[in-house]
Amino acid sequence: MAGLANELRAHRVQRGLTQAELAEAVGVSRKTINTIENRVFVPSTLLALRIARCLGASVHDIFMLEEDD
Amino acid sequence: MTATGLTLIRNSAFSALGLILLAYGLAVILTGQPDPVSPIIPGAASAITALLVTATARAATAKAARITWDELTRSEWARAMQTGWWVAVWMYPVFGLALFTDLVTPAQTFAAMGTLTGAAPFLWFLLAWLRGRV
Repeated sequence: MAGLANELRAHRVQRGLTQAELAEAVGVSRKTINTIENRVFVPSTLLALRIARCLGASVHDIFMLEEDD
Repeated sequence: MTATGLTLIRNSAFSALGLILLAYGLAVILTGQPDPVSPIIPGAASAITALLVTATARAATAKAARITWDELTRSEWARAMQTGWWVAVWMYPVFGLALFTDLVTPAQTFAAMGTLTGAAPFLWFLLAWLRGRV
């Protein structure tokens, strides 16, 4: 089954935000943002949408299915 | 109080509780006594933890409390509870065998199973904290 890849770090840096600033804007802990960026934690659809809204991007731009081997 | 402060208090309190319950359960087994120290300690520690975590969350802003129990934390807590459930299930054959072979008494079994089952989710949460997950 394909996993969930993401370009969250790139989008966050592009917007000039630290992990803590994005976490504050989204309403989660910095560790949550960190573990999403490192692909340790897979966010819910709701959280993914909230992150995308905070970054002014589409959720499809930030999260995508990784290709199967 | 900030979310960071709340998280530190909650994680510290949960960790201390897990270790207290673990120590009590192990002491029951190792000493052969159902009450190696005052049996009030596990219950009192649990009540103090609940009061502390609840009081600090109520003293903080609603946003800080929500961040402290955000999606990642709830996910880790769910895993901690799952672990606690399996630990509780496996306690029965383990202590049943120990009872059958007279390694422990029924009173010891009651005391150890109760405290070790209670300790399991909090110790899992402690591991999650050490791994930087909560």
